[in-house]
Amino acid sequence: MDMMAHQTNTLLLSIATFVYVGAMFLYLFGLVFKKKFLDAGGFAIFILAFLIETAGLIARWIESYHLNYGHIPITNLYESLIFLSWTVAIMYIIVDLKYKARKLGFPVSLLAFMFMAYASFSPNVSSRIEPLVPALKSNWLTFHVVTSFFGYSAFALAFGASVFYLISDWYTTHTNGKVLSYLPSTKVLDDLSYKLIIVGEVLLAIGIITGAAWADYAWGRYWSWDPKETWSLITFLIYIVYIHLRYSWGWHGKSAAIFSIIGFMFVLFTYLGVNLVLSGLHSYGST
Amino acid sequence: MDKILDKIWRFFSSVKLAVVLILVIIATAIIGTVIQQNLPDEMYLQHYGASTFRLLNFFDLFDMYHSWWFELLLILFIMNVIVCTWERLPAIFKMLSKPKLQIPVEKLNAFKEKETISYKGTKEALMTMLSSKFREIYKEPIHAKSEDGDFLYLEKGRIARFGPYITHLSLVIIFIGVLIGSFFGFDAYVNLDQGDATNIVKTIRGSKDLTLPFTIRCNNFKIEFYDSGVPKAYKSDLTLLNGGDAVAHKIIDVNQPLTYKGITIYQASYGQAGASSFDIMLSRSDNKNKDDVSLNLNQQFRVKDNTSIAVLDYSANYQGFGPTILVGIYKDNKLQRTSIYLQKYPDFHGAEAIGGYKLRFVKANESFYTGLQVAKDPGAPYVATGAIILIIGLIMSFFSYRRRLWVLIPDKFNGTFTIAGVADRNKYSFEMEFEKIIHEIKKGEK
Ligand code: HEM
Repeated sequence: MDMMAHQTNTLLLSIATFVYVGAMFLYLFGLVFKKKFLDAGGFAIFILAFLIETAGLIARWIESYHLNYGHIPITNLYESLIFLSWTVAIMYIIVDLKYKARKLGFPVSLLAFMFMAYASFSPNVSSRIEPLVPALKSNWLTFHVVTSFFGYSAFALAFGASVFYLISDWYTTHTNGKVLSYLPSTKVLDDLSYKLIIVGEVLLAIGIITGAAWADYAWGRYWSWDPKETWSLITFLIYIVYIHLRYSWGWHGKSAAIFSIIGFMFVLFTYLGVNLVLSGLHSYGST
Repeated sequence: MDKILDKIWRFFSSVKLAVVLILVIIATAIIGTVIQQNLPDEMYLQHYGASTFRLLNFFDLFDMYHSWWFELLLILFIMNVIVCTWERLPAIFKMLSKPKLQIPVEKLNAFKEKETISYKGTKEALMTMLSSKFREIYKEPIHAKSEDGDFLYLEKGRIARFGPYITHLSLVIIFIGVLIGSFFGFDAYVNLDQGDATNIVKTIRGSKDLTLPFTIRCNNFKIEFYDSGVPKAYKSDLTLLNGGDAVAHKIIDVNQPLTYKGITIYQASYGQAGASSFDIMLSRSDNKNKDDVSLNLNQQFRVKDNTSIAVLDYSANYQGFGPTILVGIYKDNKLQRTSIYLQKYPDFHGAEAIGGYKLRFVKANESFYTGLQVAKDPGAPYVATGAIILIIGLIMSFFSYRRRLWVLIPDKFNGTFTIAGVADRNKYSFEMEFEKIIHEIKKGEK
């Protein structure tokens, strides 16, 4: 029984990985051939991939109870990569329903696919369901991870919008002002990436604070400048700089887009880099 | 003197300084994640060599988040926030309490969002139509007059203007909490064996002894493992004593601390205390003669005649096979050979007979000490309050924005009137909103 369930969750997640690839190609063809139905198809396939992934995550959650570990599947690198692709997907679906940002489907499905492929195929990432050490058994942890990851995914989408902005802007200046009709206008993209960044900031702030609350409950210290903590604060501050530049000096458009792309590099480093790059020096950095 | 103060004030009131300071804080904070902090000096010497070590040490880079220059940066930053916010506060209050109900025509015409609409009725009819229409689709307009004509003024999202001030205030509250914590709090640890009691703890930074206003006694310490050897739970049964009287009692767990008189005791770690004992079963091959023995580490036990055994080593999880002991087999008190025995796989090692006895490793009786963290942070409630206010401030700033609309109906009414508007932020969203309003107004005209 346990073996069965275990196979079910990894199988579903592998299938979802490939369905995301399908969505990505449809979106790509949509960009190349400028056909609306391709985008709509891409979106439908994307939703399918998302549903399969959701089922995979639920199966994994149930499986952890069969193993008597019983924890939400967001506690090791494999699970967190899957969960991150899931939050990016859900964020995209919300943004699309609210702001009609379908074209972002291409970078989003690419990101979702990359996170899942890295989780499934990297030899460094184990897909085993592992028990929780006592310090991780806390509702604060769940809240902390969920809010931080939704924050990360808002920044990821802002990154996508900013990349599109630069492409759109480049075409506009190099084709005598003729905007590519199949890309969203620069105005929309600029506004969208700003909105996503402020959403990301609020979520990241909640993530940092719940993380601090958790640390206080578990270790009696809300802040200890460990690399992960420090980098998440750095990421928060980078986007605070963006917000002030935008608000006080009217930075927008190209410079804001470049800033948002750089900001996302900080997000990636906070999420992956701290564990992969700095872990050589910090035994305690690799949670 | 006043001039200098004025200069300092102006220096701190700039948002440019804020951007520079935040970037410098980011850059230095990164250094602290690349160079591992607060290790023993020997490790740094080994890693960096003597001259680099001296240089890095000179700049406090091994404990940089507590160095004077990093703390100075944080103080400059917080002064920047305070001055910057203070300076803009009166203007904001004025702006909010005395909104500009009417503005000069040139300014009105300069707005990006502007529309001139024609109306084929009387001025009075237009005023009534606009008032009721705005009330229906937007909000109640305020009526005002100037030399140019009649103004209708509409404002939304005023709360967003307070957002940044609430946010900045929260930073100050958090900072105060941090200061209180660093002056009046401490962070210490103590390791206790079962049954032991103490009122002395050691500080984590600086390793100084601190005397607590009570004694901690560890009545019992329990640790459970998963099958894989990973700890599942650890709990200490603690009693706090004051002059011999028990004043508090709790079984603490990771994430379930005990707080007494503002001092919190957390379950932080554990360690192996002293020699463990091992339960071993010896049985004759014919299963007739069974013998259960419990041995301490390195304690020799005579099995038969001149043959004896001793447990030489123990691993809680030897190569993934679970608890394992290394047994030495002695002849005439001389070590002959060693052999390993797995608790979970009793037949693994051919279960060789020693002097005609089969040996089985039943279980290890490990005794652990509990690692307690003892902390006091009277600033924490301020930090927590500040954190909540921070979130509220961010939400106020971000999920609304202030925008204003003016409608000008000229005194010499010639059948046209002008609507213009401006938003503090979210120009694009406002553009859409403005378009919708114009659309509605034009519809209402028919
Ligand atoms: C971590 C630090 C900081 C945070 C979280 C923060 C947060 C914010 C937020 C959320 C806004 C509103 C922006 C918007 O509505 O788009 C804002 C605006 C502003 N911030 Fe900060 N800020 C920080 C540091 C600073 C510092 C150090 C200064 C000092 C100069 C500063 C000066 C300002 C000013 C002048 C505004 C515009 C306020 C207005 O007139 O409405 N901020 N800040």
